Amino acid sequence: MRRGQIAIALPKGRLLAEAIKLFEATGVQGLEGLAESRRLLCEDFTGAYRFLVLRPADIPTYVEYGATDMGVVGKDILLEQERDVYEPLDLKYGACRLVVARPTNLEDKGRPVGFSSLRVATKYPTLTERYFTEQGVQVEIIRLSGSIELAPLAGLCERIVDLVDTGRTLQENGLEEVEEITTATARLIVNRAALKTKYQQVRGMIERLTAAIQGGGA
Amino acid sequence: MIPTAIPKGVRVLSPPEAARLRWVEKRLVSVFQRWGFREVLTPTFEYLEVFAHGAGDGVQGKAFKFVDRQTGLLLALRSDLTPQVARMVAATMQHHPLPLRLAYSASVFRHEEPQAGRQREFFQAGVELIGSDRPEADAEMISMAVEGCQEAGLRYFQIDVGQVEYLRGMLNALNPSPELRRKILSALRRKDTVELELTLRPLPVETRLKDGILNLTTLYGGEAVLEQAKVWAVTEQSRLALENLIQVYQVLKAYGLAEHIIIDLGETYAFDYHTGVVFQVFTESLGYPIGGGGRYDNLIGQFGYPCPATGFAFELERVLAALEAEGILPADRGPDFLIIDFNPDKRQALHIAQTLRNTGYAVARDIIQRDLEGSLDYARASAIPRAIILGLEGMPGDALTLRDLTTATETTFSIAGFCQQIKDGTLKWPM
Repeated sequence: MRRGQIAIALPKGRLLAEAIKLFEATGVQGLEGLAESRRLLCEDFTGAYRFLVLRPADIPTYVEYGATDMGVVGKDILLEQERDVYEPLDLKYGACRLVVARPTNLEDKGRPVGFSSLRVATKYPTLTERYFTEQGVQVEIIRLSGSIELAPLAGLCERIVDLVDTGRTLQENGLEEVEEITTATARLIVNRAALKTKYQQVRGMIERLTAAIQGGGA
Repeated sequence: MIPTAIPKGVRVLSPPEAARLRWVEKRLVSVFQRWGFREVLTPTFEYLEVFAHGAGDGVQGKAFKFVDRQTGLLLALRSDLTPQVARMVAATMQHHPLPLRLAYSASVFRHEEPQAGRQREFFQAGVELIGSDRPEADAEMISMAVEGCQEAGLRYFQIDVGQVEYLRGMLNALNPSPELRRKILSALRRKDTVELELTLRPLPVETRLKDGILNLTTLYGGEAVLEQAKVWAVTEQSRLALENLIQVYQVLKAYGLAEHIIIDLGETYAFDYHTGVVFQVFTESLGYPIGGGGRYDNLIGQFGYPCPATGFAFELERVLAALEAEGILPADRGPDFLIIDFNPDKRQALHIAQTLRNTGYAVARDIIQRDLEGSLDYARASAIPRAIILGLEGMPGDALTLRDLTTATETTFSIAGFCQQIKDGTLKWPM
């Protein structure tokens, strides 16, 4: 990172295109390469910003260590990782719901309270454990890394905790939503030291992003 | 278990690493001394009770605890120096005229996840200024923090200054349940305006108070923040806190330190025992603070000696990490000389070594039998800058060759002449 330059981490995948649009709406120019996913690293035309496209789950780490000053990442990942970073801005896009789901044909009706123990498959073990603990339910967390909705069908678990967009994937796999844990939108996160030592640039960017969101600039 | 395994969160320091740590420590401690602070030594463990005073569950929950066989009471490894010094002052120094200026440098133990600068054993060097509630005392701490950074060689650093009573005043007016308080502080800690708003919105309190708390997430920046904060100082406690912070800021400005200061009234990092101006030291090159501290006017009183105080500490490994990131760590330096002696009679070598040592140089002798190149390789690997070669085939018996390993140049001296020049100082090197 060059001194005076602000490094910003953008998430690979579904949140990327909108994130680029947002930064372009703040007046940053030169991000075409990233949008067309030809490059994973680029500087804007002025050299004031450097953008890195990273795996979403890695972004809080980059920001906490100060390897990048800011980042865009889903709230689901922030809840799961509990990193020590600032989250000053809800970017208000990419909304997904984090839900508890179960097989439609399962005999047990009602909330999981009342179960003494429950097997739950998820990509979000920390968040899931916290959620059920707060409800007083003992859960056995089964940590999976993808295709969570198949786990109940295969008899691995009675519940899943996953991110749903429209809910179609759940339906197609014979699952129904039991409860919503939270809605997760894209967030701007900022490194603690960056906010202090580069506060003029950081604050300026936060304000321009706020304006871009309010103006529907994205 | 693997025989060479080491517990998570502790480190061993090799000679170059240890030298760097001590180098930074010496620099920081020299600042403390120049400001008139005298060192105290505190025990590595004490009754857990000591650390529990006003520390909140944060630090206390992270203490390494064990049982005192004699009393059955819980003991804890030193998890924070400030309560130890507070206890010590209350117990043994009440007769001493104020102010007390005390300094320390010691390792601290906390059960942390070893991530982003956190270790389970780490080194702190800090000071406590006891007996003054004046803004000058707060400003003295911050000035010393600035000087510490400069003395260590850091160029791009900022002191982030806040006043805990500003926030506390609003929280007291809100009087939330512990659960709600935890939620508000967690959102504030992350400057998460969305969550803060959601948490505050349903509460049956006046809008001004809610807005005051909400605005804490944006009250950071330069001097202008102090003006903005006036608008949102909705309780008397907050207003007084801000007034105090402005006074401290004015002193710092008069010292010419304004460029190193940023204000943040929304920070929540302070320990529960903090009562006034608090601060953290940030560098541009590191994602987490390298030090911090603040005022704690009620802590010593909890040990039976009501007395205002303030203090701060640097975390040595973090200062080192910042220096490393800025690329300004001093090069590693081993001993000043390696004596490579091929004579069977070692008296000449001993005499040369003794002469150099008496003058203050660090001198090692190669005591393994090998050829000259082997010995020189050893010197380079040990960061020894100069070799003195004796008794090499073809060399006169009363001569020595001084080889400078950084420039690869050689000079030949008579042994007697060399020793004389060392003694009278006509031949010298930086130590």
